[in-house]
Amino acid sequence: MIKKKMIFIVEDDPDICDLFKILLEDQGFKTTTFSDIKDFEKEIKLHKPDLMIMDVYVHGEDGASMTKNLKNRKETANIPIILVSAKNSLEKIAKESGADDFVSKPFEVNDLISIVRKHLQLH
Amino acid sequence: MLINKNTLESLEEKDVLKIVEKFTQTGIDVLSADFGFMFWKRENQDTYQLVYTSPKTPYTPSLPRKRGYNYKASLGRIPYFISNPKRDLLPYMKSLVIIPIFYKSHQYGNIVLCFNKKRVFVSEEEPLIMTLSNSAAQVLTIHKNNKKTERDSVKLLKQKEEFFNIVSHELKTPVTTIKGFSQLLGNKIQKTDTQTRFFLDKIDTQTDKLVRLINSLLEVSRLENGKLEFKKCNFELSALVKRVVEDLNIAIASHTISYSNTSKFWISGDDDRMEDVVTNLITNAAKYSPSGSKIKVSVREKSGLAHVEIEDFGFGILEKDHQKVFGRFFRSKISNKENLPGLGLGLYISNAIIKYHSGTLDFKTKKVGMGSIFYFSLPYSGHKINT
Repeated sequence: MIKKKMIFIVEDDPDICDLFKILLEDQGFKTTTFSDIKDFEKEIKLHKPDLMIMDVYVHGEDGASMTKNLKNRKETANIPIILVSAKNSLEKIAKESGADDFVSKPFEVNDLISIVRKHLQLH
Repeated sequence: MLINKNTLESLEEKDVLKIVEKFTQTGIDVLSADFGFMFWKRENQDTYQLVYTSPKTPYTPSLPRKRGYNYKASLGRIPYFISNPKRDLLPYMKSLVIIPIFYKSHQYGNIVLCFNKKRVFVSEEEPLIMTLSNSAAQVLTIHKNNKKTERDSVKLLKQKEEFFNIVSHELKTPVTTIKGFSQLLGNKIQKTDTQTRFFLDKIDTQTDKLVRLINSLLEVSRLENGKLEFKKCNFELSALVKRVVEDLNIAIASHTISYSNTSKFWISGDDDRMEDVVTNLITNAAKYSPSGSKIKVSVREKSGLAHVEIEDFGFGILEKDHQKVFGRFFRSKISNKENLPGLGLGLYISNAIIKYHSGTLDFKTKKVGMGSIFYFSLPYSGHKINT
């Protein structure tokens, strides 16, 4: 049996979090969701996912800084991170934080799926 | 007249030090003083600081002492003439005038004018110095108020931008959910369920429209704060217009959009924003003209500029509206018709984009009911006539 790829979702809006979860699980991925960046920080020390979807603001915490931090750590530097936000300057934020890609809210679900698949090299 | 109205107005924008310098110098000139300086009173304190000394001041004046001449002048609130001091203050200060600068009960400070030789003051000089004192106080007050207004309006703009940012973020979050779940539902239904798919497409189209409206509001907020961002690249204008026409011919089934060009033009600027302008002008043309009518788009050279025209055969623009077309939230009302959808921000933003590219956007209306031509002209860096 092929092991399912694990995706961590860091997103504080519960409905959008559900959307990511259902969407990605429908595609055969395993997901773990975090609405709090501190819970995510604890978990990432213990388990490494195959990809992360990170909101730029999670309950006032800065997902972009977290991305920068993860990209500077040897053990997480190679895990693809996709930044998501409704901010118009998302492209710039993504570039500065070192994220591998970005998806602007609102997004086309098929676009999100293909970006995720691209970074998991499933094309 | 010592200080005329023009002097007052011209001083409004200068900073405090310039004002102080100007009035001290005027005092020196009027009384033929040898030098002068100004002590500025610290806000809510009974202490002073030296803010200005005239060019010929032979020493650094020491700060006013309690019960000294400066304090006496401040208490009296009127100019204090000392032609024969009780003791020699300094070898080069045989007489002096201390001019307190008061506006109502607020004291800005004291201008001190000094004489190397003993000087007798005549009574006619007193009103002259009073005028100087009052004028200085008025100018400083105008300056202070202007600065406050400036600070307040900057603060207000910032608050407005923050408000728009929050609102746009808060609006986009539910839209993301609506759009995402309706698309997810679309993925789950049977291919044959065309009716459900039709409903979901409607939801999708309307949420996209909502996002465009939110983005327009955000753009206006940025535009007014001077924060609209432009990228810098080189693009060929006729190809860009042609591409937009091709896309809109698919999206706008109700109209036939023709395209012609005689030249290629290389423009330096933001191609995405230019695409927004062309899209906006063509969709407006479609919005304000009857279904089935034509829209003609052309790109050519005119008076040394790249010239793009979008001609429709619609309702035209009423003469009373001509001045308002490029204003914010302007929406043309068509007789016998309900208001058409939109916020009336498209032309306002388009105009700003064209201006940024050093171009002009304008329109001419044929007879009302015969349609309009919207056109813009841009300077170009390269040009090639089609062969």
